[in-house]
Amino acid sequence: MTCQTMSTAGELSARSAPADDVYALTLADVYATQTTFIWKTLHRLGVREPHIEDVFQEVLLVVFKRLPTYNGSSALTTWLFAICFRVASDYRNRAHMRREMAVSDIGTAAVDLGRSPEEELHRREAETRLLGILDGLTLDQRAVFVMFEIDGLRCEEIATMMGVPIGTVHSRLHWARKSFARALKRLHEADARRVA
Amino acid sequence: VKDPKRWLEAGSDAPSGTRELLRASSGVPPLTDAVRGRLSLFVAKTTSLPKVAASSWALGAKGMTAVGLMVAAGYGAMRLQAPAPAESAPPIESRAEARVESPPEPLPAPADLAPSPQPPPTSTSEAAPAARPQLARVSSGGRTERHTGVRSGRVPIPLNETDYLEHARALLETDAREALRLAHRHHDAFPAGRLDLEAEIIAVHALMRLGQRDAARARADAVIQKNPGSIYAERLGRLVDSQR
Repeated sequence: MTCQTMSTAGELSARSAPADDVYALTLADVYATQTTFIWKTLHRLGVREPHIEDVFQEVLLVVFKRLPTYNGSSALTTWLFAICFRVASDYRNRAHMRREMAVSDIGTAAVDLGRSPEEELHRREAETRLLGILDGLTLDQRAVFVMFEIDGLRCEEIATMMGVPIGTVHSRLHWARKSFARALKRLHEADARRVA
Repeated sequence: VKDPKRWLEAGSDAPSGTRELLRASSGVPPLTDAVRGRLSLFVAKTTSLPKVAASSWALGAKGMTAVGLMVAAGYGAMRLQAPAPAESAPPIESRAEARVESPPEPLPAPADLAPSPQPPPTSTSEAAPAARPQLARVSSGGRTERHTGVRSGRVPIPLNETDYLEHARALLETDAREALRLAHRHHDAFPAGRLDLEAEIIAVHALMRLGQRDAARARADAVIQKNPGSIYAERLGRLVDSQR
């Protein structure tokens, strides 16, 4: 039976081992090696900063429950991404989140001391608009768009992380860009109406 | 297949105003030490959950069914083999004593929580609960129950390792000396514990609060040297450096 194991360097590798091997992957191992990955992924999937910690704990609970079923057939990050995706999807669907996500996140972001107050205000307004548009994308499209356009990952990396063919990533990016452009156009039109 | 040109790159076909929005993203929020600490505590708590808590409803249902069948089988067997009513089960009091005479294995408890050394009790049914408060106690109904160890003059301290350290951490604000004492006692209290690093962090924190900065630095350096790849190394380093 193949199971995922930890080497001393903290790297993950697959090797044959019985299910009750003392070196079998544990929740603590996953936490120790993948904390940053889970944190970043939840942010990319649109979990707001004040809620990331709670949603992170939900992810850890799911990982804890599902870890015995993880057989190493896919990369650990792919497996974790799928879990993060489901948990983030639930988060997004919660009624109270839908209400909160409509509200600007002003006040939660760190202040950049290198900017003037006007520049910082301008940046925050732009960020609020960006988040509003991203919230309008489907979760699949949002994940691909954020990872490619903002985080600068390559499509191949995104495909590996999401466990989908690279063509699917290109397709999702294409449709995400279209949706993004449409939403931005609507915002510009609304601005023009306000000015007029 | 070549990746498309990113919208932030010059010469891409980004719609007007898009680059400004994309540049406004403040990126991933920082994963602070406080959050890391809470999450690692959550991991420790979760992994200490009994396995049944993590199993599915189906497993739970199967377990309940098995227990039900065993109870039914036991009852049937008792009905078949029961002697005369006068010789059947002993009165409740004697059953309770029998339970006390063979107390369950004690949980690992802080060494200093145990009461001062006393001669071993001759009659466990009377002396055991008083001499070893962290052992099983028999309630009036004959049920056993565990409770926290109590040292005279001190608040009850939890016997669970995670709760113990949370208690110590909470004391950092109000009584750093007691927090340090608990951190020192942690290893003796939980020889098989898995949160030694957490205890070390609390000890370093407490030393800093007590103004013993050199001792705190030495302790932190020792921990970092011993666990260079630990998720706590950076945290400890920053904790000590912040006061330099």
